Amino acid sequence: MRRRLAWALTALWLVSGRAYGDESEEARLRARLKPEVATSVIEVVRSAAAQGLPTAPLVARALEGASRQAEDAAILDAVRRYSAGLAAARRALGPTARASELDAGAGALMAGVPEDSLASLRRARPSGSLVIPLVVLSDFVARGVPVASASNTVLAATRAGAADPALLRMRERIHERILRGEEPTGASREGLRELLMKTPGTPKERGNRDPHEKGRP
Amino acid sequence: MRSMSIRHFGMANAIAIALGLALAACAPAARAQGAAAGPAWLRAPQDRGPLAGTVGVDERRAWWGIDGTLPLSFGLPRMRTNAADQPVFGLGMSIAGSARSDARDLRYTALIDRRSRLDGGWLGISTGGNDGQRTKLQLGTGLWRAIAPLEVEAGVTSGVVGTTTREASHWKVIPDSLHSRDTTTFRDVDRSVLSTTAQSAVRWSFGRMELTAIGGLTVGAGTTPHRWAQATMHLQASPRVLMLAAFGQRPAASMAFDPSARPQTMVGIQVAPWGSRDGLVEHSIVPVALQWRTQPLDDGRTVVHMRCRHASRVELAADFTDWAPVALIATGDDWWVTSLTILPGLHQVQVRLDGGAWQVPPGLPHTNREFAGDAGVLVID
Repeated sequence: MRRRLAWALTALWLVSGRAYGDESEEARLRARLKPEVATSVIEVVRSAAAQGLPTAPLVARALEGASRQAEDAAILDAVRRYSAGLAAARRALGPTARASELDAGAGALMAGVPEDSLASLRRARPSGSLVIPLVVLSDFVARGVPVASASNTVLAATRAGAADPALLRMRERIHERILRGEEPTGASREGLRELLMKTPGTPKERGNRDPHEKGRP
Repeated sequence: MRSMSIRHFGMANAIAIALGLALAACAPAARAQGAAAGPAWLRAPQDRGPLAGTVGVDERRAWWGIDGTLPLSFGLPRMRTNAADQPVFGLGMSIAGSARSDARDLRYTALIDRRSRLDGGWLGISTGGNDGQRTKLQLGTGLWRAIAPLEVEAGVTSGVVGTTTREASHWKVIPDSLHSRDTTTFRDVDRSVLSTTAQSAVRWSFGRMELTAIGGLTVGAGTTPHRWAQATMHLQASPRVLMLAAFGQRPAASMAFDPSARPQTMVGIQVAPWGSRDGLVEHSIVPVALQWRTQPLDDGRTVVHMRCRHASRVELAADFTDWAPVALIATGDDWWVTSLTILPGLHQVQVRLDGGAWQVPPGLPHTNREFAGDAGVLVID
């Protein structure tokens, strides 16, 4: 009986802690934002915590806005939209998606990548981390590759079993091509072609990334 | 006597040149990406633009010059002449004049230049120029290599130089019983002789300043071997204005492909009307972030290493600093470092050099930030 009570109290404490956000996060927000803006942002953060969404990216958005002296309304709007992005990312990536995946997914969605693409990536790599594929996808879009081409490139590479280091190498090669003046769509197509040529015959390139492998940014 | 003279004059320079060549050929290339590369006169078409005017004063007179260059890119499709980390193929042509502007003062050069950020080589042909000699045709070739923080350069220029010698003609000598009469006359004879100049240079760039020490040996038929040396300083006052200074002597042959060089000690100023941020400023003046590295520590902190050229202040802002700028500490050799607590997960980071614009650290994937523009994505396991 005592043990059950202890478990229940622990669970309640954990849930309440999640639901009301991290106190240190709230303190940081109050220290950097105007009181009324901080209050509104904290409401959004608490709401996200209650939904089980990661709150650190929301706090980071707000503090980034404060640091760059953005207008109060713009800060609040950005935090709300990113919270919605995190929720959409979880819809697309599934309830078991990790915080860093949701953050990367929200970033991709904010860059214009459709939810379908995220869901397709999850199907292509059902159990492994999608952080790097999503980071690479957002990188392509940020470098001017059209969203459809970027999505297709990363999806095709992931479906082919390209591991994270291979995806990062492909990103570097495509980046180099774009720097040389190649048109981004063609550069991404060539980068994918190079990767696919190497992927099939190299078992090490297949499957998910070994957590001890180097190559992360 | 002549061979003794060659040995005497040439030994020190031969050793210096051999050393320069050996260094250039064998030393590991060490210049990182992003920095200006190659001799200033060679990269002028890309850095400075197609036209530059120079005025100055040397030991003898005031002088002026106009240098026009036309870079032509060929070889690889869509190759940009200032593309990063790519060899550049180019063909240039320049015309230079001086204060006594006549036809002999025109100089025409054509160059083929292949380079990367680490090393390069050039091959050129030049004619004209009149810094004390009538140069008919000169062929030159050279190579350079970066050995951070220096650049070492070696080259050879060989050409046909016109010289005037005074020759005596003895028409007749008529001795008589009381007197003798010498009817010797003199006439100037133009001769073309082959002259070869071997030279080596060491160049050091720091911010807007570039210092070069150049020396060499000139040998030619009928002339005494001549060793020479000159130190030059270039200071980029603005994207369009370059201050020049030189101390020492150098022969015309060593300037066959460098219109801004002078044979004597001089000071000058060069204005390039089409100098732009895409050119020299981007490559030579603006501090450049070259390399980014993170190293996790046992105590949970992460050491951030960044390599930057020409930077006097390096800052980092990221979500793990609450987007407040954190200054990195210089550790030498262009490296900057700081240690921070970075929790596992996905992070966004930007860097700023000398208070300039925030930018993505080199090598990191980009992501667009609402307030801060592009940021780099850092994944901490």
